[in-house]
Amino acid sequence: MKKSHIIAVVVIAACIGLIVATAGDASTYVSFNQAYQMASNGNNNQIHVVGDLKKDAAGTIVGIEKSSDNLSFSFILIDEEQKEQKVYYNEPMPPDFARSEKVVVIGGYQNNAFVANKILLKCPSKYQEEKINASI
Amino acid sequence: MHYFIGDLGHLFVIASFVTSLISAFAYWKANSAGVETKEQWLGNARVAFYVHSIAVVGVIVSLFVIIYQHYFEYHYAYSHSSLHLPGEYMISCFWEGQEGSFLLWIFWQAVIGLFLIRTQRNWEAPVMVVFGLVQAFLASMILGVVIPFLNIKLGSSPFILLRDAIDDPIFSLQPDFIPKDGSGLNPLLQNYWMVIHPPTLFLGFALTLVPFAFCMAGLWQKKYSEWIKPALPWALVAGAVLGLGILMGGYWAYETLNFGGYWNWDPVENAVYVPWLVLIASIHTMIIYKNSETALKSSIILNIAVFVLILYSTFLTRSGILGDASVHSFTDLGLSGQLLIYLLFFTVVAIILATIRWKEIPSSDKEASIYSKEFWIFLGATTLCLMGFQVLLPTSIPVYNSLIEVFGGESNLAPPADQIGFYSKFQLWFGVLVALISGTGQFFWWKRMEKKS
Repeated sequence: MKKSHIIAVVVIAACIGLIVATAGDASTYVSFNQAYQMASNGNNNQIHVVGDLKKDAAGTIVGIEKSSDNLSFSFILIDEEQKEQKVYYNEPMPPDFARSEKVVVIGGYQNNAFVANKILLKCPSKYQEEKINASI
Repeated sequence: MHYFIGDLGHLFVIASFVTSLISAFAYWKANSAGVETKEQWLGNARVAFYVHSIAVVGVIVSLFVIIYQHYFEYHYAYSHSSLHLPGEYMISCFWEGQEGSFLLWIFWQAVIGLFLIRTQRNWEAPVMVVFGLVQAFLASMILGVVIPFLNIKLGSSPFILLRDAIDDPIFSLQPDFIPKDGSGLNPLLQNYWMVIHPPTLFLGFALTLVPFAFCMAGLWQKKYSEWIKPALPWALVAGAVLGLGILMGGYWAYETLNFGGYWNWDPVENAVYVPWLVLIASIHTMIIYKNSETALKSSIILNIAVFVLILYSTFLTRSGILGDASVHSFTDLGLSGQLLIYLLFFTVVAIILATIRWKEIPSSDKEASIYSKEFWIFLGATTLCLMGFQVLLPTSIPVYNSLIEVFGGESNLAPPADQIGFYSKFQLWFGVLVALISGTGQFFWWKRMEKKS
């Protein structure tokens, strides 16, 4: 067997290994109901949920509660199945949070509460070119 | 209302698009023309490219005047600038929007094109065909023209008026309404790195076109090995500049986004990291070829891959496909279709050209010895490509979802939740491997060892 063949075999094996590893570590976009089911089945994988912030009739965002020391906050997110869920985030509120149109939370259910480890914000008009990130 | 400057700018955009096509066509004719007409075609092509460059500068000046004079009746000035913005950030508003950053890219490529016309007389015609085509594709992104009958809008012009861009009731009451102030530059971008990072990065992007253009020219003109010599210095400069641009971007993110690190493995960062890795690998295979006449085919494949990956990264960051996965990709301006055509055009043309010529490309059958420097350099280049492949796989997850949806399926795959942990797990060990291989390669480079039987 020539050396180049050995290298080719090793490279192909590495590629297959990488594909398998990526498939194994990939997260998923789910709804809150699915996320809850996963958590109650003992699956503690971190998942992505896409949703909108809850607004009242006048269009102001409701449901944001900051902790007394302002170091963490919670908010209400409505997912694509229209389920409302309170989300806890153990970091201060990102400055442009209230301006965002759509929020992606990455995290999972812990004891019936949804805890986000990372939030991706998508902001309208003024911030149209940029989304602001807040992560732990 | 200042209509003149916007109309002038738009005229320059159209002129730059048309002249880049004319230049590509004339250079094409110069390649196939006989001796007597060749000079004529070359002359025409050069004039077209000069006019193209002047038009590009014209577009930039017009847009800058709009921003600098605070003509808020224009959407670009309104949405990216404001009255009290410091002077240096007025420059960064220029490239905050997609249109401005395309302009920056076009500008650098025009400059490099002019330089090549001056210095590469032997290669001018075939190389500049590629340049003309790329410039035409990029200029079409900011064209902002609706094709009659088909009703397709081509490109997004930076010169549209606010009232045409935003649907606000005030414009029906008062069509000449001009806002008193702009909505300002995103505070995150008001950072000195944002003044120098984009020009450096786009210079790097523009430089990667040169080795690709030489590679295409070499395949096309059947000068299979001669193209390496003029392409290698450009590849080296591209590697340095693109690398510097990526580092600056990392530093900006560190200062403004509170990532807690210089590198967050965000899809937008990954999208430009992969072509850089492959570019470095291609530099290595080209050096092997210069020294030992082997690895010509791998050099060709890698040079094509670098440019295709640059286009892919442009597609990822600008089409809006990363929307739910990244923190700082651009929003969709309705250019996804055009970007996809741009990507597919060069991918397909390059692959077809390489396939047709494949059998004719000289290759050597002799195996490199384990004790030769070439063997270790090649192993290093392979590792760099694997590194890139590892990053590319998960970064493309949103693309797999879209592809599955196109074929009627449904997929909810998301990128790994803990990006930093996930990528570091692999890239750390690749990094160790690269360090070991570079060390071994250096050893054999300086001291040639002979295998003793």
